[in-house]
Amino acid sequence: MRKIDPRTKLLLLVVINVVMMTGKITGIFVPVRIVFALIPFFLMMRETWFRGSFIYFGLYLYVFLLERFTLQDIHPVLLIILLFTTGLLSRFLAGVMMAYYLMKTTTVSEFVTSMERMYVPKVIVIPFAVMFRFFPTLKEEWQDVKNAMKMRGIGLAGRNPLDVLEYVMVPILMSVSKIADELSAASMTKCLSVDGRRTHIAKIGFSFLDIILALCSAAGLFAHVFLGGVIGT
Amino acid sequence: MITFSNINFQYKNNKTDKGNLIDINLTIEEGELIVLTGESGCGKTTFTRLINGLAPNYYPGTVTGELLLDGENIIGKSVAELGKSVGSVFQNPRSQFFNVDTDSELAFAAENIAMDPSEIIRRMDIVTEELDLKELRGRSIFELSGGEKQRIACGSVAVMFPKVIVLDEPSSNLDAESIEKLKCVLGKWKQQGKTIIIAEHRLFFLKDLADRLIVMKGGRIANVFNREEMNDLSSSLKEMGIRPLEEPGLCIKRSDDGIRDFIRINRLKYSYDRKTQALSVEDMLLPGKQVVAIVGNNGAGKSTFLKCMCGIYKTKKDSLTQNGKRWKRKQRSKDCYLVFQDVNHQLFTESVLDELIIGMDGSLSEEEKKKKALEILERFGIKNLAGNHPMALSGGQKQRVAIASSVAAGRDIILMDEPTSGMDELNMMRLSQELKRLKKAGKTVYVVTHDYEFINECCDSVIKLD
Repeated sequence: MRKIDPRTKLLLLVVINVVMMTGKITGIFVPVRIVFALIPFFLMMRETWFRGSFIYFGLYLYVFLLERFTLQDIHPVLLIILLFTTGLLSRFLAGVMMAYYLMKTTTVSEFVTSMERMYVPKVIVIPFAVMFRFFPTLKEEWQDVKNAMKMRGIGLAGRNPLDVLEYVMVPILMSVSKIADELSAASMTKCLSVDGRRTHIAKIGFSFLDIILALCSAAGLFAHVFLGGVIGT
Repeated sequence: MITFSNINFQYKNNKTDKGNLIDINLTIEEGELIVLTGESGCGKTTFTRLINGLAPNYYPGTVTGELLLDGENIIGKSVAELGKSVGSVFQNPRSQFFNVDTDSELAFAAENIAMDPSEIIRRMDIVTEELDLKELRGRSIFELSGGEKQRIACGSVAVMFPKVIVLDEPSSNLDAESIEKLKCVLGKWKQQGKTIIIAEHRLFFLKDLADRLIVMKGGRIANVFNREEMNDLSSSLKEMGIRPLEEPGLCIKRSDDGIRDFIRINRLKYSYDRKTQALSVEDMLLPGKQVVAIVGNNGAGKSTFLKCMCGIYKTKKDSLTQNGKRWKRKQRSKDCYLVFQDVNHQLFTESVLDELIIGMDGSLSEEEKKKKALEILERFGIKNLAGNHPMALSGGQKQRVAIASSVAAGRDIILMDEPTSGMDELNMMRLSQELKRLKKAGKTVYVVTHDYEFINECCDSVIKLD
């Protein structure tokens, strides 16, 4: 199975967020939105994450249709509450799933390679690359600190929240800064530096599917800007 | 060839008047395998850092003297420049990977010096073959065990075909099987004529490979032993505070005082995801009021077992009984205290003293608590650190603080996960004394370890998890 180029994924991430967050939800934008919500669904299905993709798309359709068609004649207070939740989900969910897909399926080196193909300077690329590694690390650290607190009988309930913050943040920050410190030392011994050329073994490139996805994005953006998709036009 | 001539080094943050390395004069021949050892803080890590350039470039300090690599002075050369000919493997497998997947990590250094991609791939295949990394290719770093990570770390260094390789306590997080694999890797490298410098506490796995053993003390080279001299060393090493050269066999004196307390474990199962089972214990009897060692290879579920036992993990079906009575999870988390392998996560407070006091029995007065805490710190040789911030301590000191606070908490059952990893002889003996004292006080200690010397020193029984 050919991989999708990281640049295509980035483009999709941006376009999905723009259309979902700033767009109207009426007229032709009903099908436009559904098509854009389908893109992460389709990409996740391609990775055989069946469970996750169905849960995502089911939830999306539910909140969107609820927001668009059902919430018309009900009590204003209830409407506000419902609109708040459905509106939030229908605007953010697709973007979040796309970001998740991007993080999960792109290796650090593919990401760095594609950034460098776009002539993004290394000073910007390297911190982003480190972020890819940082999130799973943070998750591991958080688990460990939580376990340690539980074991020492430092519960979260019934304590001064500032103390709790200290008990959680101090070990996490210390541990993460130690990892960051050792990681930079290790990377330096592997010749990583900001100047100087790099080569890549990661194979990235556009395929037929990339072109289709890019065309989709372009069409969506076109509709959004010129057919009055932006709220307030 | 590496030549140290009159090297002195002092870290910038070292405010004492004593240097970290003093008057180092040494010539390391090409193809030699040098083992550096000595107590914690003796300067062996600093020694390796001078060779790969991390000191003084990354860890600032002042150097005098000359350090020649093949006739060229390398003091002042950048780390990245030195990285082309010197490979480095570090102690902590969690913090030496820039990438998230193993293939990218293997290629990383070579990519950084702009090597041709087809050449990188050729070399990766060679290294995969040589170091037997096939089943680790194309995996996520986060799903590998410590031993597997360390093998990838070795592989990623080997792809550069370096002439010199320095390793800083590479075995401290590894079990017996992984140490054996590390030994094979070192053997291959030695055969290829690479110059290898290893800083280590545990020496037994290096005995057949080492050409010279260098003992350091207080920043100086105290002794240099060659192969022949190493063979008749075993007795005098202990006096120097050095771990033995032979891996001791397990030898436990059966205590006759009869076992009265038991913890019975019945069908204890745990899995992290839906697919694989991390732990499954059908039926097991653990003696109480003893020091019990739990051994087994990486991946046997030893750490998981401890976490289930002290109630951190919720197990699916657990029926633990203590002397015939059901022992519920809530109760277990009150009775047990677990010292984690990575102690960074369990130090919360602002001073070492507070760290001990926070977990103590609430019925004591502040004065009593303080007095007791200081006594315990004294026994671990860290009383002088009582006012320091725990996070400002060295790794070994933190480890001792964490263990001391487990003693201070006064719970009936203390669980420890690899407490001696990276410990020198002196501190290992201190810990053994403490465990014997706990046993006398009627406490139960379960300790997961691969350290046979430590087991022989203080454990009453051994349980193997498979």
